[in-house]
Amino acid sequence: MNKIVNRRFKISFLDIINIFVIIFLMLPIMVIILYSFSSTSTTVFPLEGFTMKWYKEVLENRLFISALKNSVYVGILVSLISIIIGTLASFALTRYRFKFKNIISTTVLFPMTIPAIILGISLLSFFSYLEIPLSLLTVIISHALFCIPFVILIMNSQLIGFDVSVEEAAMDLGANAIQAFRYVIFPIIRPSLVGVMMITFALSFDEFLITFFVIGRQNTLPIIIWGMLRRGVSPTINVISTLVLVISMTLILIVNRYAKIKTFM
Amino acid sequence: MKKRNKHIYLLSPLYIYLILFFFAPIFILFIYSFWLKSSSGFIHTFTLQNYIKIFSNPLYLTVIRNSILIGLVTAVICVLASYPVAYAIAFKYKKLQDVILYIILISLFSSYLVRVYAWRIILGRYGLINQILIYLKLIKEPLTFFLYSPTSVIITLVFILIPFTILPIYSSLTNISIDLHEAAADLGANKFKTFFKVTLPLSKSGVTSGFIFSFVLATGDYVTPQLVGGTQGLMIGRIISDQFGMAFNWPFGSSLAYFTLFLIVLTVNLFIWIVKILKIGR
Repeated sequence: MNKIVNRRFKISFLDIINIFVIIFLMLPIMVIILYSFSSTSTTVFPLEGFTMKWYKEVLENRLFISALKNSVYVGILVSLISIIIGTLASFALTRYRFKFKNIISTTVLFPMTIPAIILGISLLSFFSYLEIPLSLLTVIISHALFCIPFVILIMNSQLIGFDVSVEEAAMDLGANAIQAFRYVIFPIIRPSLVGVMMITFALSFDEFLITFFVIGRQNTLPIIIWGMLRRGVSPTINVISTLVLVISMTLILIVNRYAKIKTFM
Repeated sequence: MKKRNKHIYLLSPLYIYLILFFFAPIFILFIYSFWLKSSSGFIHTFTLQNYIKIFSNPLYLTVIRNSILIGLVTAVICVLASYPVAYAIAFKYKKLQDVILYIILISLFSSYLVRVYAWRIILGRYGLINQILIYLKLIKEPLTFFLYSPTSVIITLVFILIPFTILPIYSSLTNISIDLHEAAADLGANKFKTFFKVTLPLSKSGVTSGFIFSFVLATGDYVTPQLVGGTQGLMIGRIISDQFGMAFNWPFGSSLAYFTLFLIVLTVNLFIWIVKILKIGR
């Protein structure tokens, strides 16, 4: 009896490391959310007073609203572009055998592994060399570049387990390629597509460094946050940060509902 | 697999996109690194002067060396700290598995800029750690050893990048069949022997990719050293970006970027080579 009780409440070294890591992963997020309600304009411990006035200030701020619109606009277009290009490529990589397949499958991941700052200055040099004016369009092009590898990676892991015989059965029953895709393949991969869409949106929504180089005069949310950070601490940063955090967390929640995130890894 | 060349149609949008917006830009950046800056713009020549300039001023080499060192230390700590977490999620916490993975994913996908800023609030001179310690009357003056230094950069980077090491290690661990553990135990291996002879070698791929990810991201980081690094925590990302901003010396910035990229690739390959010759568990 004694032994069982001991076993149940025994906290091992492994547990301590885990608790420590988890606490420190959540701590920054908690701090930001908590202090966005603080009534003082500096971060003081213990928290003094609770207020919503910073939220009101942010939501009435035109700069913030226009940046939010830009971020959403960019995020939606980026996720559409990268899903189309990435999913097509993933079909090719998981279903067909061809020359140099291994080299190609690693090459397509390059934009994801190169440091963001180098990607940013490369794209800036490229756009300026071709005299393409910087705008939200250049931001969309740049974001899709590093989102496509994510789409390919995730879709590969989904499509590798795809049972091709279902599709063949549809074809045998007289469906053409488009019908087979529309009525057989698409419904099966739909949850993964929704998941990938949310993930690419979240990646684009939070991207700062590449955007910083290719944005020109307009603003996205991370660019606004960066500007505020450089000018010094203002309580509204906490509010904007909290709103950004809430949006990303919601996206991940939706992904988890549609397609179990675990299967993506 | 009926039609032979169907894959080309499926892959061509990707090829076009990558050639236009990835290979062309990094090639143009390479060309820029051989140009020169003049008062009115850039001189289109072919010279190695920018690369020579890197070696002529010790500042650049020192900052590049520091950045790579910070990257290495961060990557090592990330791997060491995330292995137990990944191991516990994979084999120990059956019920909590989903919750912990979810927390890690939230951390991964929540704004990186915001998390770095949060660490500044926590670590600053009048940050939360110092305020709490003063409030609890444990110290009188703010502690300064972790502020605005390479240490604070490393602390912040570790907690920003740790999801990038936990996830690949976790995914390589879940591929290990539990039968192998039982087989090792049946053959008389104790827990430690099982770990070093079975688990660790089989999770090598996860450790390698986690290490590479966190090393590359940490070395090229721009935001963290600026928000929590102070003057001592200066890293190469800042110097490169200044060449594209205030200094307006794009050619020199390009050569710095290529030189740093070369060293990063070299370090990564060195790491892969070391893992290979160590032959863990054989």
